[in-house]
Amino acid sequence: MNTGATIVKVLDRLTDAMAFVAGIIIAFVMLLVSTSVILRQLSDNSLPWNIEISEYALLYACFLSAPWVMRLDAHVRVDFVVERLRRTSETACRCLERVSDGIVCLICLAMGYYGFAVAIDLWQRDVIVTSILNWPKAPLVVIIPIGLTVTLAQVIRRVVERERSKRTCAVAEESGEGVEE
Amino acid sequence: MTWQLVLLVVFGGLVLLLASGVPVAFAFMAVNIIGALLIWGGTDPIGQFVLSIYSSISKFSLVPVPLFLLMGEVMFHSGVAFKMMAALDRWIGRIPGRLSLLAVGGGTLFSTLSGSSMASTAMLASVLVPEMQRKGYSTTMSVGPIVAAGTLAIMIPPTSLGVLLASLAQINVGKLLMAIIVPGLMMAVAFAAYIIIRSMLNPKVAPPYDAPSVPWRVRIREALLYILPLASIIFLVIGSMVLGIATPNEASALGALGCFVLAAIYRKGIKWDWLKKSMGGTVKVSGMMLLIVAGSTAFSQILTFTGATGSLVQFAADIDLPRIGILIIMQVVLIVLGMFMEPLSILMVTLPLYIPVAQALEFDLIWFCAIMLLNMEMGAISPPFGLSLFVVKGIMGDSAPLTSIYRSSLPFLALDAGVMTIMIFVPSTVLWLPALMGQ
Repeated sequence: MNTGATIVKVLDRLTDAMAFVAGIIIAFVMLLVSTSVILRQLSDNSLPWNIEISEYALLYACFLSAPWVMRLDAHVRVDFVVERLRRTSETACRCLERVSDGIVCLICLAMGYYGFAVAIDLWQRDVIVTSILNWPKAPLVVIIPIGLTVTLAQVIRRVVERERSKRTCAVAEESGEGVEE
Repeated sequence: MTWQLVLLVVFGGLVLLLASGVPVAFAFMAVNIIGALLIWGGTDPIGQFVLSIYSSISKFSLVPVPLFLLMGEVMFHSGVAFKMMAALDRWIGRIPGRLSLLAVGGGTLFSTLSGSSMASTAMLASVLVPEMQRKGYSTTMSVGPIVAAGTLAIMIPPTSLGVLLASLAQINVGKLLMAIIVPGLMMAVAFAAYIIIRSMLNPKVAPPYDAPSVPWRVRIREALLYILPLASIIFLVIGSMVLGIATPNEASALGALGCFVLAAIYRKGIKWDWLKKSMGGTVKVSGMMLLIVAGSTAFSQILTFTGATGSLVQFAADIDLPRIGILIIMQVVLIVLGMFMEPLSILMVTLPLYIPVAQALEFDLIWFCAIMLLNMEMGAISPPFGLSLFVVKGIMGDSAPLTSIYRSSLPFLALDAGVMTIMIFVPSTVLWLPALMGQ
């Protein structure tokens, strides 16, 4: 197996694992919040920190799932111009795809870089979220650049695969999954 | 730079990025980063943007987004929704447009369990389309009712899009969910009435046939087994809110847990096949929705900081038109956007301007957002790019050309517009249930 294939395999495993954890997090939030309500109704006890944990969990679920959603090509996009171009000009369509992927790469790169810088700064200054749990803020914020960095890797992988296979614009589009609400 | 120019640059840039096929979440991020760099300079704004994403997503009010989606996914993939449809089928006799009415009835019932219009539409289409084709139903009477009833999931609680709208507009989620119940039911009644009248006037579009005779004993047994237990889910979501047992955010967790319990009972345990599909569907759609929220977080701040929002609000207040006229213009703009964009993107683009204008014009925000939500529902079935139309097209394949699918949605769009008109001119249809909740 060549290096490229190994990297792709590792990347896919990582992406799948992150999405799997995102699913577990959502199920965990469901159980946590339900338990808190049931406890409150049955006794005087409840889990006052459940709101705070759920909020952090939601942030993690969002950015852990982002690379997987990107791999499925399920990030919603307005594609009627691309659709029109697909029928009229193959070159223009491919060009537009490259521009679009390039913009996504730049955004992920910038947000990833400055996101890590912000997280490191928060860590060094020992900033905490003033609330029930007084949780340090850096481990929370850091999931944003982590998620976007793996998303960047997925976009690069898609671009490389498309350019290598010299797939047509139409085939590349059709290979993506549909989007949902 | 004048506010008109700021609006032109910001929205022009956004439209350009969206038209280039950049995913909506990343198009918003790009506009926000460029806007922030131009306004504040340096690289600090990117770091600030990261922190504002953290603040915008780690909100308890967004918890119902994945959990309402999870409800629909569990009901769909576990097969409970299909059993419900079969039980409902036993109760509908020989009436005009029988299968189309079944679509509306099933869609309405499923909407009380699902926050996802796509899951609802896919379920209805996969169950009913083959049978409709066998019975010789026209595309108008098969596709139309399915896409219309599927999108009732947006207008009947629980609704993920409604929760997002309430969260972004900073209004009471519970009150908005209550406010859309009556209009949602009005839509279902309007759809049913249209189907019956159309089928009576032109039986060819939905050929009548004798429904298999089912003994009452079987009907009642199936209703008790597969329809009545669904009331427990409705109670967990709506009842717990109304009785003050849970907040709307907590009710979503109870509803999702209830769906899991129900599915586990029907399927004799939690099976990996439907669990994997349900969780996968939920992670995919909620991840996509939350990233759009994250991306658009600084959008309204930029519009406000540049003075564009304030100036536009002043402009709207100074227009020599009755308030209702401005409201109608705003809704027409949404309808046009709905033809080309999907609902969540429209909300993200328009809310930063619409909410301040609605406040300046002293509209009740619950009423205003309920009307907006109906408009989003219309967007999901508006040609040429309504997402629900493509879901049905995917299931029907070559048996239905896209043009006939487009045509079939038009009568239902007109009915939606009729309900919207009632909501605008008779606000009590929207506001009386939330008022009861307040008492």
